[in-house]
Amino acid sequence: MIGFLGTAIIVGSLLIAAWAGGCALRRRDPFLVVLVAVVVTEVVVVVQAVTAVVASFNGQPADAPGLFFGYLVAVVLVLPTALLWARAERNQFGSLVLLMGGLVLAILVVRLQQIWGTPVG
Amino acid sequence: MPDDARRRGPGRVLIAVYATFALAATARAAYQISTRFSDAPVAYLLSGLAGLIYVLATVALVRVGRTWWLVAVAAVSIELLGVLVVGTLSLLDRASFPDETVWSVYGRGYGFIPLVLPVLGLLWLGKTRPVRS
Repeated sequence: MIGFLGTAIIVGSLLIAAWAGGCALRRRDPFLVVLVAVVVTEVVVVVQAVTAVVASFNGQPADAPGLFFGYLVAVVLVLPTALLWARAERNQFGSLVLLMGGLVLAILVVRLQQIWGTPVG
Repeated sequence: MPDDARRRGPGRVLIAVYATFALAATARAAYQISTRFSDAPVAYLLSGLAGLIYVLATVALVRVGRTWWLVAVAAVSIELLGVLVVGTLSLLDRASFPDETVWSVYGRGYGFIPLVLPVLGLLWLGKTRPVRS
């Protein structure tokens, strides 16, 4: 697990959550900038996931592989799922779904770092 | 009221929360049961049951039609009963619940969302009750 990528994902997911929350307060669907933030964050997530898988096969095995890979799959899927579900309805409720997606991703990454044994940061 | 009223507006957010809990509770229970079932069989089986109820509630909320509405009402009611019973048992009989489950102490480990969620679910289902055709 590369520490700074994990931090970048947490920052990105919290930005998404905050921005989407702002859109929800204004009773509208997510601004384009939120969608760009989702795509960029997801790219970092995929890079991080691939790095983690490679590292776990190269002498840095996770303590609990089943748990670790379970979290990894969830981390990769959460933003695309949230985005699809949010875009099906273009109003403040779509923004709230993205707000949730951002928060869930942040929580998952923190848990993933605990399992991997890398301190947050 | 349109057919898909249950998954529109606030329902969309509610379903997102349900789906998150379906995944979290099912995955957690599967992990607990597969790695250390004998530590707390009652707690882990209840944890697994909680996961399945969340899955059923999520599916029923997404699907259209009166039958699925009834399934959703049943699942969410069992969920409310479950969080109240398991929450109370986990306070009275700590020995049977040595490890946290999603419904332990009324879902304290999950910010008490498991306690609030079924109430919101029932309110939403009441609001989107299908008309008899």
